[in-house]
Amino acid sequence: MTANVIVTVEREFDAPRERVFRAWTQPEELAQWRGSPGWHVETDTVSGELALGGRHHHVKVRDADPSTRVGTDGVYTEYFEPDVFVSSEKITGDPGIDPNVPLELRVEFTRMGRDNTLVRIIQGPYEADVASWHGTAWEAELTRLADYLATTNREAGR
Amino acid sequence: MSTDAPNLQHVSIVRTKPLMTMPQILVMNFGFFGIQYSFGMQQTAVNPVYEFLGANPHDLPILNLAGPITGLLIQPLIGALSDRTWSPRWGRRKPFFLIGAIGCSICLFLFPFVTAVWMAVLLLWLLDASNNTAMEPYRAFIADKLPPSQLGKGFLAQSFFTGLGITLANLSLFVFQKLIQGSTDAGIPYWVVGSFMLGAVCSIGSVLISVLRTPEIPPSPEELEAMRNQKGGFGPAIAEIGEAIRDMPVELRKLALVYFFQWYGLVIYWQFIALTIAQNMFPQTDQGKEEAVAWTGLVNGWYNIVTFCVAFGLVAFARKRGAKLVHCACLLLAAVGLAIVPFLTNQYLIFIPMVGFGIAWASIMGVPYIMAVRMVPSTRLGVYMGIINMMIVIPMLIQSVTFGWIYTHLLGDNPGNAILFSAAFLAIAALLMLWLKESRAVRDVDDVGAMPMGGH
Repeated sequence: MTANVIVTVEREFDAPRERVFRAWTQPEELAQWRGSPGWHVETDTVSGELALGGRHHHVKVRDADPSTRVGTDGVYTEYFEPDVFVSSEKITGDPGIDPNVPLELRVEFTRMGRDNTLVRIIQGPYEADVASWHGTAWEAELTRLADYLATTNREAGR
Repeated sequence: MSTDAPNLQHVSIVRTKPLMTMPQILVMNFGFFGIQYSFGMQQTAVNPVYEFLGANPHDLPILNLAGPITGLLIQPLIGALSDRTWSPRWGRRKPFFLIGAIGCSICLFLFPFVTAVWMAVLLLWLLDASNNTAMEPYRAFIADKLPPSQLGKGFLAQSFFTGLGITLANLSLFVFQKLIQGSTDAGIPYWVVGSFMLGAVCSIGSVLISVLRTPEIPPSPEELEAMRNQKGGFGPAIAEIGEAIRDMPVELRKLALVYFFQWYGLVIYWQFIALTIAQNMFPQTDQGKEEAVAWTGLVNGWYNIVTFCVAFGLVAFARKRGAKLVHCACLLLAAVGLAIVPFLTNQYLIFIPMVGFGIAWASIMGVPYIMAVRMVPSTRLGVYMGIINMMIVIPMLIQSVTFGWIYTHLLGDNPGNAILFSAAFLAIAALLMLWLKESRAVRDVDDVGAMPMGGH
């Protein structure tokens, strides 16, 4: 089967762009929320050089089975804080993704209203039969991001 | 879905979009061929038509005012309107480029039947308005249909059909002049009429092929809701442009200065090359004048062929080696070429210096954009492309209102001097390019292949 489908996921967050952009890119922050429910990011695998051409890396581990690991190795091909980043990535350990074919992850941060942020994720190409599953997985991951932003906001407010 | 309160804004919207194959991308862009044929006719045939109708050469800049004004006003207006349009039957962008193409076809059809300069001016305004109505939503259509990773291919196909349309428009003038005799009562040769008729057919025909073969992506209910709630109109658009100008990177401001000299110079070339060729290379008779117009079509067709041949390689070379020096060198080639043209009396020798102009035209169409896209975030590319469009049309506008005076008072009403002036402006633009600092190239996807695969 040919990987020829691009997934787009959008969601608005009650946080300014700078805050959401940092949560996406700073290694110590992304380790707190990335991954679908039932997965977590292994903190000591996270690294990132936050600049054009900078490399980043992290490994997601299944909570119930730590031997199931999915690695992400990427390079930022576009990096404009807090507007957008584009990363070319190789994903290993996910049976639905060919580890030899780079995926492009593009995340746009658009200001909405006074201080909200619309996040638009564009990722692919995926094979058609797994594309919608990845869209659903991103939905769940964005809910974790919303929860993380809400928690850190509350903590900052104390 | 979401753990938040059931607020539409906080629900994730998921879409999947299939990648397009190259043949699909080409069919989608085919309409550009007809629209650009129409632009080609404007570049080469409209000024001679003014002349056939008895206009003075020093009035040519002001008679061409339609181009920059419609480019400045109509493109952003239609772009904003189409952003907020959706009809289940007609789509979002298609109504605009269909109306634009129909307008182009009607204007091209009527153009050769004008009997007075004022009629030609009126038709040029309508033709330019139609061209711009078709153009802006067409670019947006490509951005709607293609994911960001395929946009490069989409715009490359667009450039391909741009070159093909303009080249064929120019070559049709030369070929028809050899085949068709006679002229209208107003003195416009039938071979010019033939080229305009072919343009009328190409314009609507090619757009129809694209429209009928490429479906638009319907918006989801959430997107329709967002579209209805979108604050549109001139106010927010102008505020966004103002904000983008305030945030404009210094290097883009420098590029604006380069663009001033570059586009001012280019417009002079298009307005005065036919007169220069007629004055220096053909007998000063009506027949000689007609032959000069046809020869200008061939010369313009030739430089577009050169553009066609070098464009892809040049853009790839600039991406690798640096856009700044490549564009500077190309502009200098054009300047040297144009500096030679007024001294030639042999109509065949003109093809040699025009190679330089063709190479520069290839660079102008692609290389500065390589620099510009690295300077601004791609999420704001739409508004910055609008600003770059202003950086093109404002020098054209200034040229329209100033060059008539310069031509008469400083250049002695001599078209050859106008071409020399154009060469000087292109040389200044080339030197100003050296003032820019180029940001480093964005790494390619392939670089990831060399990365260590850690974590296992």
